[in-house]
Amino acid sequence: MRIKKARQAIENFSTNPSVSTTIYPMTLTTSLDAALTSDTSNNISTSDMSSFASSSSSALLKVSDLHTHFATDRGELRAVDGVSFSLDHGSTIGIVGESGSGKSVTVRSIMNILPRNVGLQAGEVIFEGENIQDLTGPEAKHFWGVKMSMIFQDPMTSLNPVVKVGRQITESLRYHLKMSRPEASARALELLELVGIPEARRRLSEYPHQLSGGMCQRITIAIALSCQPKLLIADEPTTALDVTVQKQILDLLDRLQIDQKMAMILITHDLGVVAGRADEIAVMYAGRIVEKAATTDLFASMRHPYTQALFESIPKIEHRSHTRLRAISGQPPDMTNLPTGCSFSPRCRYAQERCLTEKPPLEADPVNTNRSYACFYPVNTPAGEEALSVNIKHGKSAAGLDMSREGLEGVSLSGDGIGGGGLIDDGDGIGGGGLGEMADEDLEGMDG
Amino acid sequence: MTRLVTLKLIRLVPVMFLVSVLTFSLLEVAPGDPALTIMGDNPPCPSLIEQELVAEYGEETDISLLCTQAVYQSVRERFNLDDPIWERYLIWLGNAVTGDLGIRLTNQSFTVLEGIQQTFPVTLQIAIFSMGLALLVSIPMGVWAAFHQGKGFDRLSGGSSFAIISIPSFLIGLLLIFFFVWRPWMLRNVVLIFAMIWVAWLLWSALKRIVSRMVSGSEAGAHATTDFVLAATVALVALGLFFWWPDFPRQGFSRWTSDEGILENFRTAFLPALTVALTEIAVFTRLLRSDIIATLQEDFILSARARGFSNRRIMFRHALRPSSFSLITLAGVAFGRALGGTVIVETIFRLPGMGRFIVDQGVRLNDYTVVMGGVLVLTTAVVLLNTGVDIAYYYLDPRIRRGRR
Ligand SMILES: Nc1ncnc2c1ncn2[C@@H]1O[C@H](COP(=O)(O)OP(=O)(O)O)[C@@H](O)[C@H]1O
Ligand code: SF4
Ligand SMILES: [Mg+2]
Repeated sequence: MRIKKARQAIENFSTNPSVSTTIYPMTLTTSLDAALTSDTSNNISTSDMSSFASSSSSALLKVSDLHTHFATDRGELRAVDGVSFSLDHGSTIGIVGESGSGKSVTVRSIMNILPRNVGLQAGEVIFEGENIQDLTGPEAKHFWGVKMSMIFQDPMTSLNPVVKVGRQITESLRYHLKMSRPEASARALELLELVGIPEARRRLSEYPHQLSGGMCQRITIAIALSCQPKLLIADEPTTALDVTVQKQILDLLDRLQIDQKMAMILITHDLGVVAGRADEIAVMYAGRIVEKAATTDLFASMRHPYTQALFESIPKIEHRSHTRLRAISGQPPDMTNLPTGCSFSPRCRYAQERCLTEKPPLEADPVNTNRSYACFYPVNTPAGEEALSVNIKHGKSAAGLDMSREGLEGVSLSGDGIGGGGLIDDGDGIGGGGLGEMADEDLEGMDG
Repeated sequence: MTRLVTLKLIRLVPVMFLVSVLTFSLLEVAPGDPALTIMGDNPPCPSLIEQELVAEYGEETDISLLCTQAVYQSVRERFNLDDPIWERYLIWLGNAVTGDLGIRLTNQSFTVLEGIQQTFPVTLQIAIFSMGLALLVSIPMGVWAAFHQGKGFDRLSGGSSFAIISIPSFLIGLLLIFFFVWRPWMLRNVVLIFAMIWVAWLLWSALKRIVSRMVSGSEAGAHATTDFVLAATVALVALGLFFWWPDFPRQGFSRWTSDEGILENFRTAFLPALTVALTEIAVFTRLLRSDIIATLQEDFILSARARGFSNRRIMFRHALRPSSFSLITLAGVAFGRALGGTVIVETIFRLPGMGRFIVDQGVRLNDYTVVMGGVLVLTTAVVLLNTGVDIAYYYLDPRIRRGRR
């Protein structure tokens, strides 16, 4: 059912966004005196979930040509370089890519929590028809953390270590929703029960260090849900957790998303995690989306060589757990010094001369317009097959990638068992279907 | 709470034992002889001894040397100086515990305790004032510098901190005397000029806000109001200071219990306290600034920002407490130093404090009981202070609560 909704989303999404790039000065940190004086009156209605049904025809979130560049010592770093996507009410988009591909910076731009050293911020983020940069006053004050909220990678460090869990939950309720102390406490208790924390009442008066990582992540989820957001952004929510806990948290997010009727951006470096959970997947490489498609379409047949490489690095059910998998060949790109042509070309098995000089634009597939990719020689197409066979014949790609090594490794993914495989078979307990359950922390060079 | 305090106090017992042993051994390791101190330079020969000596050696012998020797012996006997050391230690300790620190050797009509009772409150007050002043000034400055990291104020405060830290405290005292006592008009005018610049800047930015509001129709008007309020406050304070500039005495001290009243007490305590505080302000500000900057890099600050809290709230509710641990530790140390090391300040400002009591009445005159009593009281105060810091730590940082009980 959600997949259907995702399809709808894709239809809404114009694959060739003709949105002009508006460059606006982004206020990164509201000045102190602005914080001092902003109006404290409340105009949040928490129960406007009804709008969910009526407005499902237009997207909840529409990101157009988002740019976030940093000024670094080594020059300009385009962490996000023209990202566009849209998200329907109640649906999920998975953003997948290696560490450093710009996933976090993308959502931090949306959440308005970028660091100070941002050089350029451009693009449009439209939430419920309104440009979030136009928000002012109390509307802006009670937007982030209310309408959209976010959970982070490491739950142990994203909670304040010196504040009791209960107060961390009630703080949002009191600050944004102006609840009284007893109201907020009661609601906090409800939230803890909602996210499945046993002995909720006792937990309220505990400190984060007294809880396990999984418990802490449940608490950060409870905090994120406290103001009933319409969009939840989860930035690698399970990467820092035990394998056994990962599935629990992902399932919890799934359940809550349906219960609370919220949309979700699920970020991961592991295609397996989003496989059974996202309606749509956007694959990011070097600050750009290189392939975007409905989840089922993507897994049925992928077009971008990078997506394929990512896919090949997912641990498969039939593998022993803790089997080390092949990492994608080559080094992750130097973001301050990207190749002139396709950013992926130095690592691409399909790369031809054209890839070294021209940047492939993100374009809709001529056959299935629901999917788009940025590649001149897409996988599973005649052009791609030919490019690959030419490269294999030459023994190397146009960018000089050694194809003989590539070929060998490409044949068998079943793991060479480098990493002391099978010592602890904790994969069994959770390996009940779907690729996500096998989320493995052993992916070399791919951990976010 | 009571359990924690009891436990901490029980832990103090061995520490205090060590302190008492070390203090007592001062008597043994210090050069000189307590008996000679008690006798003074030219001890008169008591007639009783004189008669005995004359009876033994006859009128013709010069008995002054013999007399001195006899007096020396009798002093050593009277003060049990020839008893075994541990016996003397136990007696001294027993007395000290009951509050009897002995009589002053050089001025035997006064007890050491009386001297301490008179001077310790002065030292304590200066220490408390200077620490309060240092924290009061350095916390907002540290927060502001961290918030505007790398900007004008941060760099200015960084530069002046290093300058102040490198000035020895006696020089700071003398400089303060020069400006506050001898050239008050200079300070007065400088304060007024700075305040005027500040007010002008505030009004200018308020004006800019109003204009931009008229142009863009946004809601920046409220911010302009704060600017006006702040500008008015600054102007009032500066004018008040200009017309009623307080003048500070060059030296001397008026106790708050005296007839002059508490205001006079503040007036006399201000410059000495500022002398001690200035260095600490510089150190505290820099320390707090860098700790806050480190805290602001933490994930939980990022997630607080993602929760939509204002920067001010994040700074004061989320970042300040976890950033204050090393400041608390350092403030404890500084407080101890202020208690024990104010002799320079007390000398410059001629305060009847404990530092001068120990140095002038004890060390200079070889008055061992004064030194021992003074040192014992100061070390006890410092040890208690550290215990207080420990307890404060316990409340500030829940993470240590498990292991360190
Ligand atoms: N504050 C910053 N200053 C400079 N570069 C940054 C900053 N934050 C992130 N980057 C760079 O931006 C790129 C994208 O980072 P990020 O979005 O965190 O990647 P990921 O996909 O792993 O979440 C990386 O190359 C990273 O080094
Ligand atoms: S085939 Fe060319 S365009 Fe496509 S990913 Fe490889 S290098 Fe880039
Ligand atoms: Mg990341």
